[in-house]
Amino acid sequence: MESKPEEPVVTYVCGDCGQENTLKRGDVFKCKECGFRVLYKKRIRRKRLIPAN
Amino acid sequence: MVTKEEKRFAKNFNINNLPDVPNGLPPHLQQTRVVSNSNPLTANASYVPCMGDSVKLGNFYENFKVDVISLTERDMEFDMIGIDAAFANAFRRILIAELPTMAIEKVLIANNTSVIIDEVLAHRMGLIPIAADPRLFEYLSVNDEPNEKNTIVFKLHVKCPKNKPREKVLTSDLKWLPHGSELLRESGGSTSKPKTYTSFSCSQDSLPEFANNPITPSDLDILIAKLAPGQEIELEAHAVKGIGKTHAKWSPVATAWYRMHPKVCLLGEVEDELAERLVKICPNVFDIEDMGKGKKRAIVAQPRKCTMGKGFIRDDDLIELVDLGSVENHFIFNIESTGSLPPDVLFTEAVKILEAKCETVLKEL
Repeated sequence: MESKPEEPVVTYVCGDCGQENTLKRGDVFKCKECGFRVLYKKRIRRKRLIPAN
Repeated sequence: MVTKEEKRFAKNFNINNLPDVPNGLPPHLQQTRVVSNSNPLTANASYVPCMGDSVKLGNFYENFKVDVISLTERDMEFDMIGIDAAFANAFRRILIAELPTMAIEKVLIANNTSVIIDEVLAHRMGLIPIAADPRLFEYLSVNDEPNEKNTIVFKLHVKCPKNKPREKVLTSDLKWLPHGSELLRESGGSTSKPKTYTSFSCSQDSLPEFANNPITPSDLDILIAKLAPGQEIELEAHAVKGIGKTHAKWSPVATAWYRMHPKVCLLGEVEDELAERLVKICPNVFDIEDMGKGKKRAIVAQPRKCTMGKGFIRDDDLIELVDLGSVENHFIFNIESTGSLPPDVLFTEAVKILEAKCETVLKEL
Protein backbone atom coordinates (compact mmCIF):
# COMPACT_ATOMS: atom_id res chain seq x y z
CA MET A 1 0.00 0.00 0.00
CA GLU A 2 1.85 3.03 -1.17
CA SER A 3 -0.52 5.67 0.08
CA LYS A 4 0.22 4.96 3.75
CA PRO A 5 4.01 4.76 4.26
CA GLU A 6 5.63 3.41 7.42
CA GLU A 7 6.27 6.99 8.63
CA PRO A 8 3.02 8.85 8.02
CA VAL A 9 3.49 12.52 7.18
CA VAL A 10 0.60 14.61 8.49
CA THR A 11 -0.07 18.33 8.34
CA TYR A 12 -1.47 19.85 11.50
CA VAL A 13 -2.83 23.36 12.02
CA CYS A 14 -1.54 25.42 14.90
CA GLY A 15 -4.20 26.50 17.37
CA ASP A 16 -2.68 29.93 17.83
CA CYS A 17 -1.27 31.26 14.59
CA GLY A 18 -3.00 28.93 12.13
CA GLN A 19 0.27 27.90 10.47
CA GLU A 20 0.28 24.50 8.82
CA ASN A 21 2.98 22.21 10.20
CA THR A 22 4.07 19.01 8.52
CA LEU A 23 5.25 16.64 11.22
CA LYS A 24 6.76 13.17 11.00
CA ARG A 25 6.75 10.46 13.62
CA GLY A 26 9.11 11.46 16.40
CA ASP A 27 8.92 15.23 15.81
CA VAL A 28 8.22 17.41 18.82
CA PHE A 29 4.54 18.17 18.88
CA LYS A 30 4.51 21.93 18.71
CA CYS A 31 4.08 24.65 16.10
CA LYS A 32 7.26 25.35 14.16
CA GLU A 33 6.54 29.06 13.98
CA CYS A 34 5.16 30.17 17.34
CA GLY A 35 5.83 27.20 19.59
CA PHE A 36 2.21 26.70 20.58
CA ARG A 37 1.69 23.16 21.79
CA VAL A 38 -1.91 22.63 20.67
CA LEU A 39 -2.14 21.44 17.09
CA TYR A 40 -5.36 20.50 15.32
CA LYS A 41 -5.76 17.90 12.66
CA LYS A 42 -7.08 19.10 9.33
CA ARG A 43 -10.53 18.21 8.13
CA ILE A 44 -10.63 15.03 6.04
CA ARG A 45 -10.61 15.56 2.27
CA ARG A 46 -13.49 13.20 1.63
CA LYS A 47 -16.63 14.33 -0.16
CA ARG A 48 -19.72 14.22 2.02
CA LEU A 49 -23.14 14.01 0.44
CA ILE A 50 -25.68 15.84 2.58
CA PRO A 51 -29.39 16.17 1.77
CA ALA A 52 -30.47 19.80 1.96
CA ASN A 53 -33.44 19.23 4.25
CA MET B 1 -62.38 27.43 -24.73
CA VAL B 2 -66.06 26.97 -23.87
CA THR B 3 -68.48 26.34 -26.72
CA LYS B 4 -72.02 27.65 -27.04
CA GLU B 5 -73.48 24.17 -26.48
CA GLU B 6 -71.49 23.79 -23.31
CA LYS B 7 -72.77 27.14 -22.08
CA ARG B 8 -76.34 26.18 -22.85
CA PHE B 9 -75.91 22.85 -21.14
CA ALA B 10 -74.49 24.62 -18.11
CA LYS B 11 -77.39 27.06 -17.91
CA ASN B 12 -80.00 24.29 -17.97
CA PHE B 13 -78.11 22.01 -15.64
CA ASN B 14 -79.77 21.24 -12.37
CA ILE B 15 -77.98 19.01 -9.93
CA ASN B 16 -81.28 17.54 -8.73
CA ASN B 17 -81.94 16.00 -12.14
CA LEU B 18 -78.99 13.62 -11.89
CA PRO B 19 -80.10 10.00 -11.37
CA ASP B 20 -78.37 9.39 -8.04
CA VAL B 21 -79.42 12.52 -6.16
CA PRO B 22 -82.06 11.73 -3.54
CA ASN B 23 -85.37 13.54 -3.89
CA GLY B 24 -88.31 13.77 -1.59
CA LEU B 25 -86.22 14.65 1.43
CA PRO B 26 -87.50 17.08 4.02
CA PRO B 27 -86.48 20.65 3.11
CA HIS B 28 -83.91 21.02 5.85
CA LEU B 29 -81.92 18.14 4.35
CA GLN B 30 -82.53 18.93 0.70
CA GLN B 31 -81.19 22.44 0.84
CA THR B 32 -77.46 22.90 1.31
CA ARG B 33 -77.30 26.64 1.76
CA VAL B 34 -75.79 28.08 4.91
CA VAL B 35 -76.59 31.68 5.78
CA SER B 36 -74.82 33.89 8.29
CA ASN B 37 -76.12 36.89 10.16
CA SER B 38 -73.58 39.60 9.75
CA ASN B 39 -73.09 40.33 13.44
CA PRO B 40 -70.04 42.54 13.83
CA LEU B 41 -69.12 40.98 17.15
CA THR B 42 -68.81 37.54 15.60
CA ALA B 43 -68.33 38.34 11.93
CA ASN B 44 -65.15 36.79 10.71
CA ALA B 45 -63.56 38.08 7.56
CA SER B 46 -63.10 34.62 6.13
CA TYR B 47 -66.56 33.24 6.86
CA VAL B 48 -68.58 32.97 3.68
CA PRO B 49 -72.02 31.50 3.04
CA CYS B 50 -71.73 28.34 0.99
CA MET B 51 -73.28 28.54 -2.41
CA GLY B 52 -75.13 25.25 -2.22
CA ASP B 53 -77.16 23.92 -5.08
CA SER B 54 -78.33 27.31 -6.18
CA VAL B 55 -75.12 27.83 -8.15
CA LYS B 56 -75.58 27.37 -11.84
CA LEU B 57 -72.62 26.91 -14.10
CA GLY B 58 -74.10 29.21 -16.67
CA ASN B 59 -74.34 32.04 -14.19
CA PHE B 60 -70.70 31.51 -13.31
CA TYR B 61 -69.62 32.28 -16.86
CA GLU B 62 -71.51 35.54 -16.77
CA ASN B 63 -70.73 36.68 -13.25
CA PHE B 64 -67.11 35.70 -12.83
CA LYS B 65 -64.58 38.50 -13.10
CA VAL B 66 -60.87 38.93 -12.46
CA ASP B 67 -59.37 42.41 -11.89
CA VAL B 68 -55.62 42.72 -11.67
CA ILE B 69 -54.84 45.58 -9.30
CA SER B 70 -51.04 45.48 -9.47
CA LEU B 71 -48.52 43.23 -11.15
CA THR B 72 -44.74 43.32 -10.83
CA GLU B 73 -42.08 40.70 -11.43
CA ARG B 74 -42.44 39.38 -7.93
CA ASP B 75 -45.81 40.49 -6.55
CA MET B 76 -49.35 40.46 -7.77
CA GLU B 77 -52.58 41.69 -6.25
CA PHE B 78 -55.80 40.82 -8.02
CA ASP B 79 -59.50 40.45 -7.31
CA MET B 80 -61.57 37.39 -8.11
CA ILE B 81 -65.28 38.13 -8.06
CA GLY B 82 -68.03 35.58 -8.33
CA ILE B 83 -66.10 32.50 -7.34
CA ASP B 84 -66.73 30.17 -4.45
CA ALA B 85 -64.47 30.14 -1.40
CA ALA B 86 -63.58 26.53 -2.11
CA PHE B 87 -61.91 27.51 -5.37
CA ALA B 88 -60.09 30.48 -3.93
CA ASN B 89 -58.75 28.28 -1.16
CA ALA B 90 -57.86 25.52 -3.61
CA PHE B 91 -55.79 27.94 -5.66
CA ARG B 92 -54.09 29.24 -2.54
CA ARG B 93 -53.19 25.74 -1.39
CA ILE B 94 -51.94 24.70 -4.81
CA LEU B 95 -49.81 27.84 -5.10
CA ILE B 96 -48.17 27.09 -1.78
CA ALA B 97 -47.76 23.33 -1.90
CA GLU B 98 -48.23 21.81 -5.31
CA LEU B 99 -46.51 24.02 -7.85
CA PRO B 100 -43.09 22.64 -8.72
CA THR B 101 -39.86 24.60 -8.42
CA MET B 102 -36.16 23.88 -8.57
CA ALA B 103 -34.31 23.80 -5.26
CA ILE B 104 -31.00 22.41 -4.06
CA GLU B 105 -31.41 18.88 -2.78
CA LYS B 106 -27.92 17.33 -2.64
CA VAL B 107 -24.89 19.13 -1.31
CA LEU B 108 -21.50 17.49 -1.91
CA ILE B 109 -19.07 19.04 0.50
CA ALA B 110 -15.39 18.67 -0.40
CA ASN B 111 -14.17 21.00 2.30
CA ASN B 112 -15.84 23.10 4.98
CA THR B 113 -13.68 24.66 7.66
CA SER B 114 -16.17 27.41 8.50
CA VAL B 115 -18.10 27.65 11.75
CA ILE B 116 -21.30 26.65 9.96
CA ILE B 117 -21.51 22.88 10.20
CA ASP B 118 -22.12 20.82 7.06
CA GLU B 119 -25.75 20.01 7.80
CA VAL B 120 -26.72 23.58 8.62
CA LEU B 121 -24.91 24.83 5.53
CA ALA B 122 -26.70 22.27 3.35
CA HIS B 123 -30.04 23.22 4.91
CA ARG B 124 -29.44 26.88 4.09
CA MET B 125 -28.45 26.06 0.52
CA GLY B 126 -31.72 24.16 0.11
CA LEU B 127 -33.69 27.26 1.00
CA ILE B 128 -32.02 29.45 -1.63
CA PRO B 129 -34.60 30.27 -4.34
CA ILE B 130 -33.38 29.45 -7.83
CA ALA B 131 -34.48 31.42 -10.88
CA ALA B 132 -35.06 28.52 -13.23
CA ASP B 133 -38.34 27.71 -14.95
CA PRO B 134 -39.33 24.32 -13.50
CA ARG B 135 -41.40 23.52 -16.59
CA LEU B 136 -38.15 23.04 -18.51
CA PHE B 137 -37.03 20.24 -16.20
CA GLU B 138 -38.20 16.77 -15.31
CA TYR B 139 -38.52 15.18 -11.92
CA LEU B 140 -35.57 13.13 -10.71
CA SER B 141 -36.69 9.89 -9.15
CA VAL B 142 -34.57 7.50 -7.09
CA ASN B 143 -33.84 5.24 -10.05
CA ASP B 144 -32.90 7.99 -12.44
CA GLU B 145 -29.43 9.16 -13.31
CA PRO B 146 -28.87 12.86 -12.62
CA ASN B 147 -28.57 14.39 -16.08
CA GLU B 148 -29.03 17.69 -17.83
CA LYS B 149 -32.81 17.24 -17.98
CA ASN B 150 -33.41 16.93 -14.26
CA THR B 151 -30.51 18.52 -12.38
CA ILE B 152 -28.94 21.95 -12.07
CA VAL B 153 -25.41 21.93 -10.69
CA PHE B 154 -23.88 24.83 -8.76
CA LYS B 155 -20.41 25.21 -7.37
CA LEU B 156 -19.39 27.20 -4.34
CA HIS B 157 -15.70 27.68 -3.58
CA VAL B 158 -14.78 30.55 -1.27
CA LYS B 159 -11.72 30.93 0.86
CA CYS B 160 -11.11 33.82 3.18
CA PRO B 161 -7.49 34.96 2.70
CA LYS B 162 -5.26 35.00 5.76
CA ASN B 163 -4.64 38.70 6.19
CA LYS B 164 -8.03 39.98 5.13
CA PRO B 165 -11.01 40.73 7.37
CA ARG B 166 -13.92 38.34 7.75
CA GLU B 167 -15.54 37.53 4.45
CA LYS B 168 -19.21 37.04 3.59
CA VAL B 169 -20.33 34.19 1.38
CA LEU B 170 -23.29 35.39 -0.68
CA THR B 171 -25.49 33.68 -3.24
CA SER B 172 -23.56 35.61 -5.89
CA ASP B 173 -20.65 33.26 -5.17
CA LEU B 174 -22.66 30.30 -6.48
CA LYS B 175 -21.40 29.43 -9.96
CA TRP B 176 -23.58 27.55 -12.39
CA LEU B 177 -21.93 24.51 -13.97
CA PRO B 178 -23.76 23.90 -17.25
CA HIS B 179 -21.61 20.86 -18.02
CA GLY B 180 -22.58 19.03 -14.88
CA SER B 181 -20.72 17.92 -11.81
CA GLU B 182 -16.97 18.47 -11.67
CA LEU B 183 -16.27 16.52 -8.51
CA LEU B 184 -14.87 13.08 -9.19
CA ARG B 185 -16.30 10.08 -7.49
CA GLU B 186 -13.81 8.03 -5.57
CA SER B 187 -13.88 4.78 -7.49
CA GLY B 188 -12.16 1.56 -6.42
CA GLY B 189 -10.42 0.54 -9.64
CA SER B 190 -7.82 2.87 -11.09
CA THR B 191 -8.36 1.55 -14.60
CA SER B 192 -11.96 2.72 -15.02
CA LYS B 193 -12.63 6.22 -16.36
CA PRO B 194 -13.25 8.67 -13.50
CA LYS B 195 -16.95 9.35 -13.01
CA THR B 196 -18.53 12.45 -11.60
CA TYR B 197 -21.72 12.69 -9.62
CA THR B 198 -23.88 13.49 -12.66
CA SER B 199 -24.09 12.15 -16.22
CA PHE B 200 -24.67 15.12 -18.47
CA SER B 201 -24.82 14.05 -22.09
CA CYS B 202 -24.85 17.60 -23.37
CA SER B 203 -24.18 20.99 -21.85
CA GLN B 204 -27.20 22.90 -20.52
CA ASP B 205 -25.60 25.91 -22.16
CA SER B 206 -26.62 24.59 -25.54
CA LEU B 207 -30.34 24.69 -24.72
CA PRO B 208 -31.97 27.79 -26.21
CA GLU B 209 -33.47 28.98 -22.91
CA PHE B 210 -30.13 29.05 -21.14
CA ALA B 211 -27.89 29.99 -24.03
CA ASN B 212 -27.45 33.60 -23.01
CA ASN B 213 -28.98 33.73 -19.56
CA PRO B 214 -27.16 31.57 -17.05
CA ILE B 215 -29.09 29.97 -14.21
CA THR B 216 -28.58 31.87 -10.98
CA PRO B 217 -30.30 32.12 -7.63
CA SER B 218 -33.25 34.53 -7.66
CA ASP B 219 -31.51 36.95 -5.32
CA LEU B 220 -27.75 37.42 -5.39
CA ASP B 221 -27.37 39.11 -2.04
CA ILE B 222 -28.51 36.33 0.27
CA LEU B 223 -25.94 35.63 2.98
CA ILE B 224 -25.02 31.94 3.15
CA ALA B 225 -22.12 31.95 5.61
CA LYS B 226 -19.33 34.09 7.02
CA LEU B 227 -15.68 33.04 6.89
CA ALA B 228 -12.86 34.06 9.17
CA PRO B 229 -9.33 34.28 7.73
CA GLY B 230 -8.08 30.85 6.75
CA GLN B 231 -11.53 29.25 6.54
CA GLU B 232 -12.75 27.71 3.33
CA ILE B 233 -15.93 26.28 1.83
CA GLU B 234 -15.78 24.10 -1.23
CA LEU B 235 -18.94 22.35 -2.29
CA GLU B 236 -21.15 21.37 -5.16
CA ALA B 237 -24.92 21.71 -4.94
CA HIS B 238 -27.38 19.81 -7.11
CA ALA B 239 -30.84 21.30 -7.57
CA VAL B 240 -33.81 19.17 -8.58
CA LYS B 241 -37.52 19.65 -9.18
CA GLY B 242 -39.98 19.19 -6.35
CA ILE B 243 -43.18 20.52 -4.79
CA GLY B 244 -43.85 22.39 -1.57
CA LYS B 245 -45.71 19.43 -0.10
CA THR B 246 -42.46 17.48 0.18
CA HIS B 247 -40.41 20.31 1.61
CA ALA B 248 -41.14 24.01 1.97
CA LYS B 249 -37.98 24.90 0.04
CA TRP B 250 -39.85 23.90 -3.12
CA SER B 251 -42.66 26.38 -2.58
CA PRO B 252 -42.61 28.96 -5.42
CA VAL B 253 -44.35 31.65 -3.38
CA ALA B 254 -43.03 33.60 -0.43
CA THR B 255 -46.62 33.16 0.38
CA ALA B 256 -49.97 33.47 -1.34
CA TRP B 257 -53.03 34.61 0.54
CA TYR B 258 -56.48 36.03 0.05
CA ARG B 259 -58.93 38.05 2.04
CA MET B 260 -62.57 38.80 1.49
CA HIS B 261 -63.49 42.25 0.32
CA PRO B 262 -64.91 43.99 3.40
CA LYS B 263 -68.51 45.14 3.48
CA VAL B 264 -68.81 48.21 5.64
CA CYS B 265 -72.27 49.67 6.08
CA LEU B 266 -73.47 52.54 8.18
CA LEU B 267 -76.82 51.58 9.64
CA GLY B 268 -77.83 55.17 10.25
CA GLU B 269 -76.64 58.71 9.95
CA VAL B 270 -73.35 59.19 11.76
CA GLU B 271 -73.13 62.91 12.32
CA ASP B 272 -70.92 65.58 13.73
CA GLU B 273 -69.17 64.44 16.88
CA LEU B 274 -69.89 60.75 16.27
CA ALA B 275 -68.50 61.11 12.78
CA GLU B 276 -65.31 62.61 14.16
CA ARG B 277 -64.94 59.70 16.57
CA LEU B 278 -65.53 57.17 13.82
CA VAL B 279 -62.97 58.70 11.52
CA LYS B 280 -60.49 58.84 14.39
CA ILE B 281 -60.85 55.09 14.92
CA CYS B 282 -60.64 54.09 11.25
CA PRO B 283 -59.20 56.96 9.22
CA ASN B 284 -58.44 54.72 6.23
CA VAL B 285 -62.02 53.60 5.68
CA PHE B 286 -64.25 56.49 6.67
CA ASP B 287 -64.29 60.09 5.60
CA ILE B 288 -66.06 63.22 6.72
CA GLU B 289 -68.50 64.77 4.30
CA ASP B 290 -69.51 68.34 4.76
CA MET B 291 -73.23 68.82 4.45
CA GLY B 292 -73.18 72.56 4.72
CA LYS B 293 -74.56 74.68 7.58
CA GLY B 294 -71.79 73.30 9.82
CA LYS B 295 -73.17 69.76 9.81
CA LYS B 296 -70.92 66.84 8.97
CA ARG B 297 -71.46 63.19 8.50
CA ALA B 298 -69.33 60.13 7.97
CA ILE B 299 -69.31 58.16 4.74
CA VAL B 300 -67.67 54.91 3.81
CA ALA B 301 -64.92 56.11 1.51
CA GLN B 302 -62.65 53.13 0.99
CA PRO B 303 -64.07 49.85 2.30
CA ARG B 304 -61.26 47.97 0.56
CA LYS B 305 -58.76 49.38 3.02
CA CYS B 306 -60.63 48.02 6.03
CA THR B 307 -58.49 45.65 8.03
CA MET B 308 -61.51 44.25 9.93
CA GLY B 309 -60.06 45.70 13.11
CA LYS B 310 -63.51 46.34 14.60
CA GLY B 311 -62.16 49.16 16.73
CA PHE B 312 -65.58 50.76 16.74
CA ILE B 313 -67.10 48.08 18.99
CA ARG B 314 -65.38 49.66 21.95
CA ASP B 315 -67.54 52.73 21.44
CA ASP B 316 -71.09 52.31 22.77
CA ASP B 317 -72.71 54.59 20.21
CA LEU B 318 -70.82 53.48 17.13
CA ILE B 319 -71.31 49.76 17.67
CA GLU B 320 -74.98 50.13 16.75
CA LEU B 321 -74.35 52.22 13.69
CA VAL B 322 -71.61 50.27 11.89
CA ASP B 323 -72.11 46.91 10.26
CA LEU B 324 -69.00 44.97 9.28
CA GLY B 325 -68.95 41.91 7.12
CA SER B 326 -67.54 40.50 3.92
CA VAL B 327 -68.75 40.80 0.39
CA GLU B 328 -69.82 37.40 -0.77
CA ASN B 329 -67.51 35.71 -3.25
CA HIS B 330 -65.20 38.68 -3.70
CA PHE B 331 -61.63 37.63 -2.97
CA ILE B 332 -58.60 39.89 -2.89
CA PHE B 333 -55.66 37.68 -3.77
CA ASN B 334 -52.00 38.38 -3.17
CA ILE B 335 -49.23 36.29 -4.64
CA GLU B 336 -45.58 36.88 -3.78
CA SER B 337 -43.27 34.90 -6.00
CA THR B 338 -39.77 33.90 -4.81
CA GLY B 339 -38.42 34.41 -8.32
CA SER B 340 -38.69 31.16 -10.26
CA LEU B 341 -41.74 32.31 -12.22
CA PRO B 342 -43.67 35.59 -12.36
CA PRO B 343 -46.80 35.57 -10.17
CA ASP B 344 -49.30 35.65 -13.03
CA VAL B 345 -47.68 32.58 -14.59
CA LEU B 346 -47.74 30.90 -11.18
CA PHE B 347 -51.47 31.43 -10.94
CA THR B 348 -52.19 30.08 -14.41
CA GLU B 349 -50.10 27.02 -13.58
CA ALA B 350 -52.11 26.56 -10.39
CA VAL B 351 -55.32 26.65 -12.43
CA LYS B 352 -53.89 24.00 -14.75
CA ILE B 353 -53.06 21.78 -11.81
CA LEU B 354 -56.59 22.09 -10.43
CA GLU B 355 -57.90 21.24 -13.89
CA ALA B 356 -55.72 18.15 -13.99
CA LYS B 357 -57.00 17.07 -10.59
CA CYS B 358 -60.59 17.40 -11.77
CA GLU B 359 -59.75 15.35 -14.85
CA THR B 360 -58.33 12.63 -12.64
CA VAL B 361 -61.49 12.54 -10.53
CA LEU B 362 -63.77 12.46 -13.57
CA LYS B 363 -61.79 9.62 -15.10
CA GLU B 364 -62.14 7.56 -11.96
CA LEU B 365 -65.88 8.09 -11.66
